[in-house]
Amino acid sequence: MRELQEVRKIDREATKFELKSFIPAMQAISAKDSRYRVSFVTFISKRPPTELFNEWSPDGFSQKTQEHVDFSLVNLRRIIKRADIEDGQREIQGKFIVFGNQKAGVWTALTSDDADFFNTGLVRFLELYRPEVSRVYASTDEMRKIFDILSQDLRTEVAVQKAVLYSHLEEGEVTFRKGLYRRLFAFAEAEDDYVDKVEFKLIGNRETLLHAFLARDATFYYYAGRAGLIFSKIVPLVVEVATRKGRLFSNRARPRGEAVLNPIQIEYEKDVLMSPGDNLRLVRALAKLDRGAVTVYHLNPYVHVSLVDFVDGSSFNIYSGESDKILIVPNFNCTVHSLMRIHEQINRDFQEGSLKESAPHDLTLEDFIGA
Amino acid sequence: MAPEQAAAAFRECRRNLIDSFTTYDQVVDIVSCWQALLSHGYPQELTYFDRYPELGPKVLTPDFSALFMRRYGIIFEVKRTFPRELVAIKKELAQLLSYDVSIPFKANSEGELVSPETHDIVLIISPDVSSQVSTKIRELIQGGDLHFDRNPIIVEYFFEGSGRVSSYVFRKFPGYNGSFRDLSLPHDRRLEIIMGEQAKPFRVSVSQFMPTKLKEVLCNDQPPPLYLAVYLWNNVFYNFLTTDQRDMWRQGYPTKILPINIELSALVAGLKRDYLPLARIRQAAVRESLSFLVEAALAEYLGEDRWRVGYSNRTMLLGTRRFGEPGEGEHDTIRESAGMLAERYCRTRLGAQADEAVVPRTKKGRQSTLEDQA
Repeated sequence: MRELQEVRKIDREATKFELKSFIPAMQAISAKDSRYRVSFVTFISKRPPTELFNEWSPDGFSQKTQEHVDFSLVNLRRIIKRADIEDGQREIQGKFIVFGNQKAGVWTALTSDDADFFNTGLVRFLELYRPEVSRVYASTDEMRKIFDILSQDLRTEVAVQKAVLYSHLEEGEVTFRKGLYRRLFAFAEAEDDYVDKVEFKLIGNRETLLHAFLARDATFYYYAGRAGLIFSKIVPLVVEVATRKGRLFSNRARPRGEAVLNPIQIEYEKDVLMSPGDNLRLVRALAKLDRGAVTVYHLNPYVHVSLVDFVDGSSFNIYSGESDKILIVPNFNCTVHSLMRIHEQINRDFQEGSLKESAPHDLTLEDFIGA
Repeated sequence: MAPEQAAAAFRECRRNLIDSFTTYDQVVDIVSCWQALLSHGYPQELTYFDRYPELGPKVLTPDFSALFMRRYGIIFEVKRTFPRELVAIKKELAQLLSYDVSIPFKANSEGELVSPETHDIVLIISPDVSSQVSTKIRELIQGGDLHFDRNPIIVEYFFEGSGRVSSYVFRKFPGYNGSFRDLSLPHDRRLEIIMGEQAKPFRVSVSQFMPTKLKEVLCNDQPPPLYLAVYLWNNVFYNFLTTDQRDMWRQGYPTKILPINIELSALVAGLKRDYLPLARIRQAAVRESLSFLVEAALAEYLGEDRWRVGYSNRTMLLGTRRFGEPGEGEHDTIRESAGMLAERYCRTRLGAQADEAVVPRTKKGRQSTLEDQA
């Protein structure tokens, strides 16, 4: 991470630094190097991640952590051994910073080392701490709201440079090129696509304030412009999505020995489960969950499946008896990591809806008497 | 056995297993509907809803029963099919007749027993057979071959799923039928007034009965081995893994088969304590499910009610299950666990000759069995 050298130049005696001291360094480097990129990933972890890192390291990884004023600096090394690699192995090495809020249990890691280190090193490293560490996924609507706030608060226009969308129904990506973000999201809605990644510029007074990138898996990049906006705006907005979902997905397991259910409801603005084909599509979407297995109790006319996530043994009953709702009812094992994965699976391969806590409502005899 | 015969035997074996699974699940639905309806609809009047009744000195086990105001009871029997031959019909009716005696009902979860002043006997059946059953009962009663002191009442059930909200509908059969003698209930809340006089059905939507179903899971019938095996596989076995075994899956060997040692008494105690605290779990049912897993080559019997289960994430290897009406050209196939267990069971039981009993191949090769890990 080149910024470290810049930061050290400012105060050669200092041994501990503040996160904000990286902002001018990032800006300075980006002004000189058009290929510069700082990659961020926001994730959920109840425990401070460095506590986890220092407890154990996944196979092939080693790390050393250094504490600073408001962040930790992690030197990460990964050795990948594979027969199809020249010399049988390759090494990935780099540094990343991790900071966050222990109370919310939401953290952000960043690195300006290359994309290979970010994807194959840092992100993979974090993912191997599952289920204690959970990735975060934003829906298309949550992404749009982030851009709404950026646009309103900064009085800027969000100009999309390029965006990648996917259809819920068909294979293959859809590319959206140049346009205002409202057009992108209107396009997504019209085509019934979900937005996956957006490269954008914040433009105010005909000046580019920030050139950045945001993906639904809570990764985002800084390319150029006012780096402070990443920390003051983008990070808090992504953290807010993570905090909200983390809170909703926490403590959902059914207590053993008790007849207590803690369901989560996905609500849709339109009727998405009106035909046997819709039901089948939902079940097929769930059946595609990596390392998951479904059991179909009912397929028609109503859907009821049981789903096990073999990553951590979380299991769920998922059902729908109304055309605009899906209920996810966790069983005795349930992690934030698993709920996050399942919700994202439904969002991607079936349909995006809004999440709600499912509150039981009092029923009376009249509710059961039909005409 | 010729390959065609073996394939046919395999298909029949699989179909029977899946039928037992879906039939049982539908009874669980129906019981859950009535439990939700009576618990929420009659909170003041319902003394106790007994999901697992064992009534009287003869330990009669109807599908469920309900006691109202400590004075009126209903015994419910659910039949998805009903025979057409007289002898078989009489056998079914004999079961209903066995309930036609003064029986103490459970009045609370502590087991207090109360003999109501009267009770009726409700037969919940499909509209496909309700008319035929009604006619037969009338003939037998009028011919003097059948006599009930308590009223047998036919209630039809069907599922209505064409609208935005899917519901089970329960309707008192409008032809020859008995009456609810539920005079102890407030007049406008009497089942006889609502379902009989006003001819209104009860509708119980999926969202109304599902919480009850998910809490209870089982009903008074012994669950088929496949049904309980799926429950154990999905909800219970993971918790028998050691920390090291769990780490192995988490860290990158997601399909590795992990042995779990099970002792029947400990498993049953755990089910009663932690997983199905409201249900009546019979040891015999759990034993049968574990034996089913042995026949499916997913467990081995160690003797003295102990088993070793080869637990694994078989996502990549799941059997397909067909959905749709028989005879339709196209079936919707889904890779899912009940299908996987059924196929493995039938394949192992019938041997390798069955044409459809080919082990699905994956990128990692042939599906491994317990023996492969040794």
